[in-house]
Amino acid sequence: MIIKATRSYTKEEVLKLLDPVVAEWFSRFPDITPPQRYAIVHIYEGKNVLIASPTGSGKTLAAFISIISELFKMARSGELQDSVYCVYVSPLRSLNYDIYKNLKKPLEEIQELAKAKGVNVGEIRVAVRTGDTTQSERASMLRRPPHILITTPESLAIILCAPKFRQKLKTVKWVIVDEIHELCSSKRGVHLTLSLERLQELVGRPFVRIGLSATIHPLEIVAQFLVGYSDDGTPRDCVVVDTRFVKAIDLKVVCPVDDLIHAPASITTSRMYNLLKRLIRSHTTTLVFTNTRSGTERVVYHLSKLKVVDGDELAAHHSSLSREIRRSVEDRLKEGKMKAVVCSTSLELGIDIGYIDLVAQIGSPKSISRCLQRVGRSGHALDKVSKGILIGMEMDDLVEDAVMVSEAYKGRLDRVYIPENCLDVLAQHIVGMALEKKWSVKEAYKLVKRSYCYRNLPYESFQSVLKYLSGWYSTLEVYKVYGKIWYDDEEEVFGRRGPLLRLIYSTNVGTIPDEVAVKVFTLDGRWVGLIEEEFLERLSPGDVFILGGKPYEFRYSIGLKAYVTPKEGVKPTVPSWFSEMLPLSFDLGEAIGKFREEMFQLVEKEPKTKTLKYLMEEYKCDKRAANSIYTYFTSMLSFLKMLRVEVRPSNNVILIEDYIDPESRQNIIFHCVFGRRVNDALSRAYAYALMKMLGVNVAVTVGDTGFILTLPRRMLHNVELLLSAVNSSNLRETLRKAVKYTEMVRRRFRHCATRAFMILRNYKGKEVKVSRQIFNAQVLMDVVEDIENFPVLEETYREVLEDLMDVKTAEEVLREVELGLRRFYVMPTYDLPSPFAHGLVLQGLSDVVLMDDRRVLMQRLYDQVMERIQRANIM
Amino acid sequence: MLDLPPYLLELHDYFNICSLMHNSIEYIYFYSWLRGCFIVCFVVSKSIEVVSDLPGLYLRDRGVLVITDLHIGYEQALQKQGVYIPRSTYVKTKQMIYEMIEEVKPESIIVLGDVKHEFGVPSSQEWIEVKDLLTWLSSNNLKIHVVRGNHDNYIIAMLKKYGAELHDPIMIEDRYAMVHGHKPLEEVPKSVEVLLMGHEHPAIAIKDNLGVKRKFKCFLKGVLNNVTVIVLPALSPLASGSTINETPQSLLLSPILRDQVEVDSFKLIIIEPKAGVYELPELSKLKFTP
Repeated sequence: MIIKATRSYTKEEVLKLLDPVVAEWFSRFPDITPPQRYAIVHIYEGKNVLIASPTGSGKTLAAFISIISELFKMARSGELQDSVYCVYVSPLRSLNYDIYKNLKKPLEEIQELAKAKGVNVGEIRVAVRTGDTTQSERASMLRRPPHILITTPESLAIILCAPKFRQKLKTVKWVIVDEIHELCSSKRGVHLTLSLERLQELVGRPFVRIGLSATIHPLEIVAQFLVGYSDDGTPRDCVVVDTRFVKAIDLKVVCPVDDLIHAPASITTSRMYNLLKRLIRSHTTTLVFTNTRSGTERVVYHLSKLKVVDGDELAAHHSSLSREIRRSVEDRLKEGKMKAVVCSTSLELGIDIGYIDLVAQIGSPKSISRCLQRVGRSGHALDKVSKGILIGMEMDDLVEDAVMVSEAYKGRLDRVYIPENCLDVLAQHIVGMALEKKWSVKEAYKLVKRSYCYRNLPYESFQSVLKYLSGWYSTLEVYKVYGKIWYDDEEEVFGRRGPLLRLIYSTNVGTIPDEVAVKVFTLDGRWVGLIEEEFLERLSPGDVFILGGKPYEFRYSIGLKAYVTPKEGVKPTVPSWFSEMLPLSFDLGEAIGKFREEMFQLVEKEPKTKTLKYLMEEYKCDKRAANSIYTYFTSMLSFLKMLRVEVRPSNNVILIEDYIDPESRQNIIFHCVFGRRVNDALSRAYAYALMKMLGVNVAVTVGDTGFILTLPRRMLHNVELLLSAVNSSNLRETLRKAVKYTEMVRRRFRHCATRAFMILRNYKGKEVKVSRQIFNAQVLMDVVEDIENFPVLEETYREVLEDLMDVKTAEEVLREVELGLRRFYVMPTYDLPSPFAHGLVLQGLSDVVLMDDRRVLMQRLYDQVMERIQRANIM
Repeated sequence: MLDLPPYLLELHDYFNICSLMHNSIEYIYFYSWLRGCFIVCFVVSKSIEVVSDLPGLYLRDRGVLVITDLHIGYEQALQKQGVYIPRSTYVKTKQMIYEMIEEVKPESIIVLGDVKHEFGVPSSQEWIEVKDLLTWLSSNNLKIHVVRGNHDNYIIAMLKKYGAELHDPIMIEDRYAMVHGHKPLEEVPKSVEVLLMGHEHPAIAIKDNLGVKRKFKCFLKGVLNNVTVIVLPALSPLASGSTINETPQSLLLSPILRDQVEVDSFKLIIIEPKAGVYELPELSKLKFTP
């Protein structure tokens, strides 16, 4: 059962349980923090515990203190063997070294304290084991195993199969999973849950599982993810320590200008930089989030041009920078030497980054949890307030920010999404398990189902993975010998095959896909930069794209080299990769839908001053932000009135515009603030249905606030016909057909094939590259397409539909439409888009890089609409 | 209208745009009792037909079926590079050849090279599958000819055993000359009107409005000194081909196409199994320049 920790223990109660020396060391802290009050006793009692608490609230120590104490007790009584007792897993290598240092120090201090007291205890060893650990370090680790092992999910999966070292894991009593909020929503987390079940099988009895998480929701589900399921199909026991909201927050939404639509882009931008300048100068250390890497570079560039602070007190931090640069920025942050650091998303989690007194966010963080996580980076000590300023640069961002802040104050959070039944990850573990021993299929299936992520795994899926790995899908019986494992379906047993398997497993384990980089050169051989392989696939000769801020025309490619010519001043014909952009969470989208409903009522019925005041108080907007939001809604309202539309768009009323653009194309615009994951699913399904109905290609523009289907000319005269073509029961099937030939599916197929060991990254100790040059994923897919239920292909579609998109919620939305809980409303055909559609309409027209252009276009569009409205009023 | 998969709608757009094409296409409809539906038989040139919608040619005046680039054993070669795919393409290859034979009932079959994939000693998969193929073909009373390709080393013994004839580097049959295509073309007899070749694995990439790009195998048809040149697409399902409309001529694989002809003047004939055969205009009109 998952229960909430309700009792807060006093410091004395906690100290009483600890080893006296450890207790004395621990009592040096002036007070114990909330997570420590709730968690330590339960961990001492041997219960599984999930601690959800902000950064800096002492949750790491809460997890470790009773473990250290128990280890000391064992050391005193001479029970401590040369074996591993505690495994600490975190997704970040940098965090691992941090934890190592933070454990080493207290252990030494406790040791000294013991010595001073004349207590003789042996050393308690800690070691880090990651992909960076050298052969000799590993050898010495085997000779003298650490009592506390710090590692990553990948390294854990490897040592589980290391014939000698795995023996040292049989004594494990505690496993700590850190940053669980980050892990659980990805395949890395799914991978870890199976490693934990395999570890438990190895140990032969349950160990204590401790999960550490930042702000996340719902905790019951995350707890199940941590502890897994018993064989009777119920979740194992876990105590949830919820101290997510112990830190006070101070959030504000600001807008650089009074009228976000009309202020020229240059003024909005320069005001934004001036605002940042003021904020940075009036605070000790400011952390700025920008969401994208290119945004980060741009902001740093402008801030340094403005000479906001001394050169070395300002830095960029994002995942494309080298590890050395990032480490140096992190170290300088910790030492308090930075005035401002600008990052994309990279400093959102993990390592202790020292004292920060302000977090500024440009644009929208896209989810309430992420907003709190980012803002939580400031006000390090628990009694300090976390201060965050959200700067809206576009109308939809501004609305998002306002709703997000109000939701955060109400204590609402968006739900986390945890992938389930990932067959590629399962394939890795089955190979790992086969390396251990000969398995009965039933036993192995039982083990796998103990993971939260596989609790509902159908037996047939499990079997299909066994068949795939054992070469059953080859057409000739003789080829079964080429399988990675052998599988006897009559005896129902499987095991390893071939001497290379162990090497394949240990050099290819993991879930993070390699992106294949294509080198870009000019025709005369000058180096330009790197693009992703899939981006190259998208290009045809003559296409213009942006690389390193400059436009280039694609000419041709040979293998993994692309050749281009510079095209100064030419607009790109292909947008840059969008993969960097964060999707809006569905829950926040719903809140925005409700906000729309509320705002229309206020704007229609209440005086302006009252509404502005309300926005400033309830939504923490500054005057400019409130003003901009107000104008946004009044212009939409006028537009609706002009077209005699009775309804107002909200979360329950999905407004559909039928807009004929200046090129006479028909645009069907859906106003549904469901976030991009849901809208991606809906839009593609409707586009496919439309394509089938009319026999033409349909262009799709997807955003967080809705989507657009574009037809080459006015062809659909009855939009209702389209609406009835997609429903909750045919959505999945329609979608699968719609995405079949997209590069997205090919790309994901390559990732899944790599995870499932179908394409090896490393073969016989050598990095595999050639295969990818000569081989394209489409061919591979064509080969396996005809094989029914081929697990790698099935997993690809599952990943695209469920992880990348959100087909489940999309189905739910359509079901609600069918039940009458939500409804569509089709607006009359018109030659201008509504103000709420402007962001979307322009999204497809221009690249993100060309923000300024986009703003100008948006402004022009808006003015046209307003002019029309005014004229209508006069008439 | 044919019920086409959506990506092929793009091809239909081409149909509409290239009105030119309708004049150049010769369709012969004949009723196929076997399948109970209309088969469109595409005539490439006088008495040379695309077999159904498959990557093979039927030379009606000689009763010969021509295919190329089988690359048997590709899977095992890939496995050596760490790519494990189910060994299932041989069955597809065989199925395609079977369909072609059923369709045209040829007297003999000519493979324009690259029967197998490994350059070196044949792999175990190659032994198994090449043997199976040759046995099966000769049991169908077909005379087998192989024009030697660059992958066809160590194959002579295998071929001899099953009565297949090897031609290196060229095979002349009446008005036809047949080469693999990996070497420059030497002088051919005056009687030769048509040159058939493989090696290049031609394909075309077509992109739709959504930026989704699809590759289709295609035949190429052009002229070299008054000789009609036809390049066949690879039969191997694993060889998707090099996209001829995205590759500069100087980077083509075959020295014949690279140096001896003007590829831009070649026409393309797309084949897509179960969807049909489509003729496109000259390559120069298909290279997209903004």
